[in-house]
Amino acid sequence: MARLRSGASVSAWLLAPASLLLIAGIAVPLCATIWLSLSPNVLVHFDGKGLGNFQYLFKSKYYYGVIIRSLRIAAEATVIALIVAYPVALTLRRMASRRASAVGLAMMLPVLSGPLVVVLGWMILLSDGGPLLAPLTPYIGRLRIVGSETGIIVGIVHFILPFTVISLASVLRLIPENLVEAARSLGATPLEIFRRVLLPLSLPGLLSAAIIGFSLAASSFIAPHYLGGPADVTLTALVAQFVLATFNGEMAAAVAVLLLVLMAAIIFLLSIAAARSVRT
Amino acid sequence: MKALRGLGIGWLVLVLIFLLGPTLVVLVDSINSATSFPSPFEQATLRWYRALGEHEEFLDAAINSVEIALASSAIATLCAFLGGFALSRRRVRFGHAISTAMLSPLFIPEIVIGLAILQVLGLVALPLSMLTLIVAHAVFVLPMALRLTLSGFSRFDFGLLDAARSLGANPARAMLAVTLPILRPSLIAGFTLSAVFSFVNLPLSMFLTTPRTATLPVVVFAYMESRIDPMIAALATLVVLIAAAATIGVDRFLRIRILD
Amino acid sequence: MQTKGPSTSLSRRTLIGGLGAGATAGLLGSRAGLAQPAIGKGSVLTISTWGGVTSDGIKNFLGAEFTKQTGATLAFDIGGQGARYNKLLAQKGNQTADVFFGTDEALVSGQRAGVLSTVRRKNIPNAADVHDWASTVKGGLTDETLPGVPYTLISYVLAYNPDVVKTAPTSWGDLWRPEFKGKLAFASPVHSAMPFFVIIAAELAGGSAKNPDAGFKKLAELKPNKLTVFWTDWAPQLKTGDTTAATEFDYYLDTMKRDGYPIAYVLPDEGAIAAAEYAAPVTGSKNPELIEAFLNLMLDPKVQESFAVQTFQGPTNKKVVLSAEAASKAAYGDKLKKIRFFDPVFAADMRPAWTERMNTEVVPAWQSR
Repeated sequence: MARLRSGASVSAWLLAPASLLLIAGIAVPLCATIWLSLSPNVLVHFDGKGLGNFQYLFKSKYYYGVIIRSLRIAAEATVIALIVAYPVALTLRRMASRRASAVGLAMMLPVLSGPLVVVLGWMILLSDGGPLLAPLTPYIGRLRIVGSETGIIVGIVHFILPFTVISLASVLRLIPENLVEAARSLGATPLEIFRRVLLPLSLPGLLSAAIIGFSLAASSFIAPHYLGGPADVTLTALVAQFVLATFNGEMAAAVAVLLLVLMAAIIFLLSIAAARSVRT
Repeated sequence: MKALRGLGIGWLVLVLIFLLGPTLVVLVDSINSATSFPSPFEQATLRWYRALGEHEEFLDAAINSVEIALASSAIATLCAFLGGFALSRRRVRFGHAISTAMLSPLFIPEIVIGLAILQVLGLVALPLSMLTLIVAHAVFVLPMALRLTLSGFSRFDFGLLDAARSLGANPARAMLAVTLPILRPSLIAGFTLSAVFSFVNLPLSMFLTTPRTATLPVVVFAYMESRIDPMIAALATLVVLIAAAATIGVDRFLRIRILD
Repeated sequence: MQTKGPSTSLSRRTLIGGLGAGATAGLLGSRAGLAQPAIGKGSVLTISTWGGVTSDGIKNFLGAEFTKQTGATLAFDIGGQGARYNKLLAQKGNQTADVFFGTDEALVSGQRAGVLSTVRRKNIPNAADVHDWASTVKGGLTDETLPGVPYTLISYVLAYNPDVVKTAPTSWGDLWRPEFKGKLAFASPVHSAMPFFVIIAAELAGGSAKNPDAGFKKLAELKPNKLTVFWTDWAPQLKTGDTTAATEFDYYLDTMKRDGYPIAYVLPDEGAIAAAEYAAPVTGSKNPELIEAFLNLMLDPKVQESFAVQTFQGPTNKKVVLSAEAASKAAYGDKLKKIRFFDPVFAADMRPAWTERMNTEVVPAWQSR
């Protein structure tokens, strides 16, 4: 009993630095944000504090559409990134550490050159008259990637892919090779090895990759602005508009709180589901 | 089996082309003599790199960004290591809730929290400084470091710690001698992703920088409001080259690799 | 680590800038007895402004002269107007910046919020030479005070690719031409020019500023393929042919011409949209004299000429005489007849509600692709 209690208090101490950081950096500003989100503003009028801003957001078909669109784009981009990244991570798993790291870093380098520069590259490559699509136009018609939701998804997948690959690979590389060898000597096919050994053991990594990818996708705002079409407004763009153009901190706060609740619910359910499937 | 491996390598190459493609287009423009961007290749020139020399604000900003990325990632990785250990060692009550809460910085539009941090600092009359900027960045990269640490701990056998204890090691020593080496790959990966994420952050820095702490994304974004020329391509190229050189150096001399 | 960061970067800059300036001022002072009243010796005036053209222009055209006159140096807090304005609001009473650069509309909002104040007219002798049309902000404009200085006039115009567009547009109504369907880069709802497009569209459709419903309907019929905030977000598309017409500031278009983009522009018959940009004093600054010295320099004819010749931003000082070449590129002289001024107070009042109407009534209809 005494041991257990000391264990719990050690846990508390170990969690203290992270908690302190979060309280100072997130909890306090978040409280301020929630308080602000309950306040009336130039757009929505009500007395005292209340949920008027949220009612306004839910009532408007427009805002409802923006919320759905943002989550859908983020989810699509995350799924695509995971499907693309997993085979890459499997390949990296088998490489010597020096070579795997070199490849991993080569993937990170474009991120370092900055999202604006990358997006410029995409605008050049993917435009209707650009080097990739112009030669194809006579055969498949105008594809129109820049200025569409497809453009946004390409941009977001490109941004989150390195993060998902590294998250997946760092876990896959922890799976001992002799487990795989054992399965193989028992006659397992590559597909069975993947399904029975690699996939279950890499679930925590898959979860990390999904969470990081989805969050980065939902909060990205340079790709939607440069690669999206005029009507492809996302939640982050909306927030940016409230903050930077109409200086409506209250509505910006309301949208942010809404996004936080939705994202936290999704991630919470995801991590519980992942924990279940690991245990069974 | 061989065919599978060949497919895997082929896929990897395709993904690399996809990832490097847009940057390569920009990099080529950094040595193109044409003044507008993008242009067909005219003539190779280094004038855009020389032009960078007249903009010392880019250098100052790059140094700031590196300092902030390293410091904030170090803080975040340490917090994530300790917190991840606690969350993984035994079933902590509300473990999922706590780890979700710790990931929350990822779920809030940074632009809102950046502004909220600025307002809170204003309320308590704390001036903006390098320290406030580093702490803000540390908070926002913590989820990355924590997620990778947690998945590292998922493969960690806590029985090893008991073994070390039974051999007479005190808890701190067991942690250093047993846990740290095994978690090393996850910590390095977490640190690297955090540092990259901090280095390119704009929405937080936009509100929290001062003339002295302006970061590279802030300066580049402001520059690109009114100008778009190959000098920005030259800058991006230099960042990529220096980062590549630095990682090669870190690999060679410190034996630290992102995928150890 | 954390404390080392700021101190190294601090020393890096202030040692070079501050000591250098201080030493020169000291040397000059001792050699010439008492040459100049160095009101700001060793201190730093922080300018909150746009990056790129504007901050570079300030540095290059008047930075040295400012230090020579005052002994103080300039520091720059650069960024978009929205982010910088939020900084002002959040840092009330403890401001980083001394001078704020913004549109006349931002000045109106800033005065209302109490974050921008006034300067003494007598300390800004160049203000006497400013054109009457330039002073679009009336708040704080008295015989004794000024609400900052309108240092430039730029105009928002209609641009097109002359290689592709056979008949040059002449009216804002040409934005609705079928040939620009899916080829138009149009001001985003967050753009400073948005309220004025509502008014212009309303007038084209038989409404007015007071009766804008027809304007929103008309705007919804546009077929843009790109919403622009900065010219840099649509410029690459001009080269690839994805964009053939755009709304943009004249001085950026002249920059594009100089850099070889296939672009031409017109001041439409209904009038190009005037944008008066101000440099204004931040409330609570500890350096009012330095601010005034700086603002006076922003109105200096030589400084304004440099801005006009090198960055194509129109001068506001009557004494500036531009060559024919430079005059053709900046808002200047006869061009003023084709530039229409709007009331920044009206824009500030309407912006929140009109942005919302743009979002809900207009943008969803812009699914052109």
